[in-house]
Amino acid sequence: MNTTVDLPKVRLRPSKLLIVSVIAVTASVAVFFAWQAGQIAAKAYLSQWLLQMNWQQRLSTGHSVRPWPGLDSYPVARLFTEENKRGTVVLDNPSGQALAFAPTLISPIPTNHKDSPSGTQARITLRAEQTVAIAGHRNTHLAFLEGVAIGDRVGLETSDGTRRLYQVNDHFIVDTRSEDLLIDTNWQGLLMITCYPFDTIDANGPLRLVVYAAPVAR
Amino acid sequence: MTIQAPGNARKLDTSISDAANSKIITGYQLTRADSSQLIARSLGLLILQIILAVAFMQNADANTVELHDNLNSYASSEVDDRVETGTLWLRHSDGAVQAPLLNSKVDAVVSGILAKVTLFQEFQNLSSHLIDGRYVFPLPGSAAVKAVRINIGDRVIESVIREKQQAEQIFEQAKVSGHTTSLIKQKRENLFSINLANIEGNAKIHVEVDYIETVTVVDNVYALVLPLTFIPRYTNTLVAESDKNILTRPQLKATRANQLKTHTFDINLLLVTDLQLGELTSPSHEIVYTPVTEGYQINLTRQALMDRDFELRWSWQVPFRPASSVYTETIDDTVYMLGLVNPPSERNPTTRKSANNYLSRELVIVVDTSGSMDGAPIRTAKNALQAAINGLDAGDYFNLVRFSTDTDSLFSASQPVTAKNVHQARRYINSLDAGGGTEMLEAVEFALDTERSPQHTLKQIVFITDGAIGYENHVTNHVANHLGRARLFTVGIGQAPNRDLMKKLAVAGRGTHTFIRDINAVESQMNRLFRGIERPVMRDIEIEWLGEPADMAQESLRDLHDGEPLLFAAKLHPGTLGFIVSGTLADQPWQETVYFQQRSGTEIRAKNAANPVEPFDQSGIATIWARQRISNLLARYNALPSIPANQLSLTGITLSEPKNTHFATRQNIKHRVTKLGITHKLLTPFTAFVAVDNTKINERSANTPATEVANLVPAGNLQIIPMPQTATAIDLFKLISFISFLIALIAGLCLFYLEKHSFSSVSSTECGA
Repeated sequence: MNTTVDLPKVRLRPSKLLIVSVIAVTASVAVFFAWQAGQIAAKAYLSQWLLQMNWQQRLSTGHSVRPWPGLDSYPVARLFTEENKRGTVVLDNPSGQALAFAPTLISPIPTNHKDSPSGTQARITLRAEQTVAIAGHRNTHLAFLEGVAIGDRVGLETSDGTRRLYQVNDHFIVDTRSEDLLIDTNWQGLLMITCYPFDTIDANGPLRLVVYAAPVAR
Repeated sequence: MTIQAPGNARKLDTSISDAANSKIITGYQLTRADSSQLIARSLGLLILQIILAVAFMQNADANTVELHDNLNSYASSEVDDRVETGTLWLRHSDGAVQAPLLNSKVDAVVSGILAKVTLFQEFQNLSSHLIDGRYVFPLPGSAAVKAVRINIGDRVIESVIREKQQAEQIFEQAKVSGHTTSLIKQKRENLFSINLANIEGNAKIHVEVDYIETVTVVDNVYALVLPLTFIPRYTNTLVAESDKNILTRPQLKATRANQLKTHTFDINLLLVTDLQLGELTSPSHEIVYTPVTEGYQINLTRQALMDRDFELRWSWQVPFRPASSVYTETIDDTVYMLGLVNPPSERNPTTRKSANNYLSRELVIVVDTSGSMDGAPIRTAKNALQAAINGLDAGDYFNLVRFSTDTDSLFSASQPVTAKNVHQARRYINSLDAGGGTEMLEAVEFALDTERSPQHTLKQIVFITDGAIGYENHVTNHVANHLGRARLFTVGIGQAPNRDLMKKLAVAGRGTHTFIRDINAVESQMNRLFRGIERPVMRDIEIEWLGEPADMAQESLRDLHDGEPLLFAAKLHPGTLGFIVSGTLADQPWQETVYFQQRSGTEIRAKNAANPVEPFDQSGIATIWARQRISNLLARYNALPSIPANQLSLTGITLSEPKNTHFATRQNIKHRVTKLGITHKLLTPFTAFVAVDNTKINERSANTPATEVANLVPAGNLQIIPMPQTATAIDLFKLISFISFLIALIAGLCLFYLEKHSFSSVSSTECGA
């Protein structure tokens, strides 16, 4: 009879080793994911520092050079907001790799005829009569879109140094499973596209927030 | 020496397609792949996942509420709340415009080798006010567009053909004065645009386009293709600015079109024949046929969407393959003729491998990895590449080239086929992803330039692409001028490839073209391609006229591949008695003499006529002759360097003599094409069809909205204006990190608590976790 009472007691007794190992595992998981999150943030913000230097160089010399070896993308514009006076450099190749470092241009599709061997020839130049569409991560570069309101102003600096001013005039949500974004390519406006909603864990949702900004004469 | 065991190869292939299938949105999936890998890697995450799930569910609830709010506010801020029932809005700087709906139907009559097609397009203005519209649509590259009508209510207005600028003026005038009007122009060999002005509110306009084309015959299999959509063409500095907004169009997904009941397609095809049908199939649609008195009636089993080209193939039970046949049409005492000659088919060709003088081969495979190939096309292309690698023999040399915005290759120059190189090639193929621009010229230059030194190597280039570019002429000209000893074969990928470019490139490259619709057709089509490469080619084809020489539409005849008939059009002279076709097949001369037995009432019986041919009377032959002549003139026009007229007068610099001559030649050709177009009522790049409804004047305001009619995204293609995955896993990582930290903290506190009290006396319930 006694043994039946003793048995559950033995089971319930937590071992020190178990607790220590739980601490070890969870702590290392915590450190690992903190490191991963840190990496994403570091990638997004430190690379902008490098891209800013590259952009300044392009503005002053008129030539674009590869921001760093291994990146298959070149700065094409700089995006300004009321809060972000330093601007965010925009890359021209909408690949997953480039998106980690900067918002990227998705329309017009980057055109690059001959890259000279030295890589110093100008790549894409945005024309005033084009609609410019930019996509970026909702939790890094385009996080400001969460608080965007109609009437907000956004600036875009192109490689010839001119700055164009836009005013947000509409925003809506597109479900990529059933809807398409029809862009009138001659509208001359600015579209900013990011994942929606902003505060979800799911990084692969089908919804996109599309913010329209119309050109403003200064 | 065998390089690859077939079993092994198959295994590799399936793994590729599996990998490709799981990766639906190639190129934008980095974050997902990373995060899922990490999750799989960390053990002990099961508990965390449960906690996460709970947290996430709460989060998701909050999101849906927010989304509804947002959508409602969006809808109310719009013109009305029809957004939810599915309306196609086009956005402009000042608000949104409803795009007109489009539905189309095709009536076709195929008789002999001619197809007479009427394409019906119905545009429906859903809004209650006046709008203008524009639609860009594809037609076969060889189509001769000979009439256009518009139907408004019960009024039918026939279009007239005019010189392009004149037509544009007529259109603009009618537009400004409020008349309903339409203008149809040819933008590319196989791409046309229709402009409609003053479409009344809630009205429908029907546009009917009549065209004639010759059906293709290869190996006794007849084929007719009706293109129904196209991939927006990639444009760069080589494309005229004015063309850019024609070539890159708004696109609509099939799911959305279904919802809106737009972009539907139906066909009613009559196959006129007294022969017994052998096989009748459509690789693109489900069809049904019924025998009728004239021949066979072909319909779709159900209405389809315009998201793929319609294709029909048929053969006769007993192959109908006369050595030669002649079709004629008489217009104002002028006799036009279409000649069809079947060269002998080499049933047991001596292949390269069995021949005594064995030639080693250099195979350069070029693949398009641009953004327009994203989705099913790139998977198909990758399988085609694997099949091409399988077709290599020991002793061959090979290289792989991929291009998008940039070009790169597996090797800097072709390498011999070794197990190591083949392995490397397969890894290279697996790593391919679609994305970026389509800079085709650079890849073509690379493939043609890098030649291996061994003199007796056959150089073959296999070019795999969807051809979605707007600077076709630059590429075909480059191939024609720099081909050297190489041969270029094209493989068109997808449901709506740029077929005209694929054909022209193959002609310029003196090779064949093949189309692969989807992944299931890879094996059969690639086998066909490689069989075609091995088969002998009929070269140096010439036609000598008997009696008075006739006026041929083409200046020279291209090489014929095995199984292909020779097709040529000519304007006959009253004294033309017949013709002799000659050529060289596998170093053997071949010749065929044809005498006309009787022609348009005039009894012409040649003496000693061995095999007189009786011409069939068929309408449309004159149109075919004019269309071929125009194509021929345009090919010359496009091969000449263009010097804009304003540059000539503005710079005032005397140009070097050849350039000046080129310019003059171009002007001359333009004039000739325009004249042919007007006389034969044909649409050309320099002529246009314009129709004006003079019966009614609409109230037109200065801001009558201009709308664009979208094209459907070809089935399997991903969106061209992509909306990439724009969220990082940073929040997920932060959350996991935070929860793990919390658990570690709690466990630490437990440990601390237990250390204080003796371990043995405490049960876990007291820990309070």
